[in-house]
Amino acid sequence: MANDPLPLILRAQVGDRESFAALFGQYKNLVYKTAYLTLGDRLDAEDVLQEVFLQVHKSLASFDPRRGAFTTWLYRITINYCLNHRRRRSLVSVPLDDDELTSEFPGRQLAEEEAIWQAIRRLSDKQQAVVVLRYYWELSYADVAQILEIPLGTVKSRLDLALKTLRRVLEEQEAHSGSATEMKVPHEL
Amino acid sequence: MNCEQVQPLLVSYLNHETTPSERALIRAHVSGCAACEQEIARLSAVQDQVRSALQRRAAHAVPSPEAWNRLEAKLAKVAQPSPDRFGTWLSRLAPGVSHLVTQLFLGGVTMRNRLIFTTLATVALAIAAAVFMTKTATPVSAKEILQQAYTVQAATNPTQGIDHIRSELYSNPEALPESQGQTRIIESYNDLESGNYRIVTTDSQNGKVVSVYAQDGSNTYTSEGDKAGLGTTSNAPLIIYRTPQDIANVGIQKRLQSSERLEAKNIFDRMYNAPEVQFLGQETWENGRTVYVLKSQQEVKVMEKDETARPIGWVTIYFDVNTYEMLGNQVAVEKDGKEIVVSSQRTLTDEILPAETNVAWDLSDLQGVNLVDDTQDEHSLPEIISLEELLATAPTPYLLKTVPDGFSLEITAAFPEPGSGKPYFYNATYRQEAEYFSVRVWGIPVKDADWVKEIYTTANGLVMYLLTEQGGEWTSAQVETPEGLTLAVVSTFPPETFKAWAEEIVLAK
Repeated sequence: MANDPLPLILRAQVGDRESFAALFGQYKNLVYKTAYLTLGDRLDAEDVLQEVFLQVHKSLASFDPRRGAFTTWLYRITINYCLNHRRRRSLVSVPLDDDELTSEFPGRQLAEEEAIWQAIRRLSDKQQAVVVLRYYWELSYADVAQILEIPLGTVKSRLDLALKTLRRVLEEQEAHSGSATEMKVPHEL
Repeated sequence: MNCEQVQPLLVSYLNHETTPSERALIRAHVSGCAACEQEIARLSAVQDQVRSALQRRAAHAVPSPEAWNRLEAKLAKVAQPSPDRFGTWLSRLAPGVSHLVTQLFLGGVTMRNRLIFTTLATVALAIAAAVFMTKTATPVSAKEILQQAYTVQAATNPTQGIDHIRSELYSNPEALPESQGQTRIIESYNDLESGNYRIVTTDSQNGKVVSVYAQDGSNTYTSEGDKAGLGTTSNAPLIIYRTPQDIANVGIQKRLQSSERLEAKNIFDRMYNAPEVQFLGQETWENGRTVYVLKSQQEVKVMEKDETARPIGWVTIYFDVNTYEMLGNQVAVEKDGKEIVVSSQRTLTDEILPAETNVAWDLSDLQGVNLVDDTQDEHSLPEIISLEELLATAPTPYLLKTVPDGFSLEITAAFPEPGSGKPYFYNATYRQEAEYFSVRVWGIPVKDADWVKEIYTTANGLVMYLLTEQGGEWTSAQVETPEGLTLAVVSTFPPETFKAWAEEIVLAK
């Protein structure tokens, strides 16, 4: 397997900077996109990318493949950093996203997508994590459970709640045919 | 199954995450229930929309091209938290603060000095933000001033003498009412030829030394960090670790030289969308110099309890009208109708001293500090154990029979508490300058043949699986021992030398 990280990990573990750079190159998007989709802010995602790989560098020597795949470990560190990052931030207002959607979207689709995106932003931290891992990275429930260190049943219920919340937002969006509206986040698991 | 039982399972059903029996029951129910069938269709559509929204957002989100450079600089700083020489335009532009900027963006941060770092970083970020965003702002005069400052300072790059900068820094990260912040003096000397430097931070109220970084040509000096955080009430002397430079500082200077420059661009990128900058005119600075005053409204970081908040605040910067040096700055926020200064910085001294100036690079002039020899740089490294400790603790310590001539042996290890169920770990590295041969515990069984290039067995029964390499001068292998343990061996040697050394690996007890 061309992208198997094991040889790189082995060498990075003994201090080889080039191998660590290669690991970074191979997995930076995993970390960055997860952070961006979870936090909704590119600058925050940049920060998390730095923090996560500093942590990886620090802990790589003790990384033990018997306890799980490298990517599982990396997702877990990333999600934990994102949750902590969010916790530290004021949650009074949801940060405006810095993205500029291109004009290729018809207005209605744009509005719906924006509504979904903002609705994801308003999900609880824990629900957001399962949504991103499942619907962006297409990870199995078992993988998500392992990454988040939660029971499989909790993955199911979080995803169920999250999706139904998002559905309601879309329905409200359709009803108002305008911008995203306030919503109530269901009880956090 | 009825609707009430089926509906909580529908999302899992759509994701093929139900058991076969659940699936059969759901199908049976849905085939006769229009409401649940409709619900499935609706949830499926929502899933598609969520996927689409995430994919589209993520497609445009890629890390900064400078991300690796930033990280590499941070890693270098972590390995040796000594600042580089202050020869870049950034440091000349913001003397006294550049170290803080370096700490913030190049990552000279450890957990133990995190608190003070956060404070200083707040200031540094705001200052850096202001400096770089103004360069792109629309008002012509502000832009011109910044452009001039950039050009002049970039060209100011003395190569001889001793760069001496003394700054006063006021920090009030929680935006407390006036004068409740902390004022510190940061004094740096940097020998532009030899690379010797010293940076000493003191509390301006009691004169206590709170942090130190230095290098005198033989040793590096690193303080344990600002243990007291924002306060310096502790009477305990600051511990400063003295480590031979050849152990502590390999290749750091060069990396940081380039990374600072790259970091400057990164800061610029970060501030690209910041608001405009106003040119407020000229003022007389306290030492009689005339300064340009630039002010901008922007997001600044303040601490609210233990959390970081980002209110909109004001950043004011003062540039010398003749030299375009940045002489000072101030960051303020509005709170309860009042403007509260969150931080301010003033340059007290900024000069190039003659190269022969006598500077105590070895910190021998400092009072109230405790100098501790740390010849192996142990305070900044993972736990290192002796060979005897490894032999006494590890059940199956595979090592080379002897330490080869000219090589040193370093062992790091982690032995979990008995009964914890966690595996033990050790890594033994034989090193001679850039060459090394490393043996470590590697728990994963050899199973994926795709990246195994060659298998051979040593005379003492170790099965070596040489791995396919991805470029570079490397050989690595996974090793199965007769006891069923998996090791990893990594080396800078070519395969034949690697194999010869592997023949010398034995169970050391």
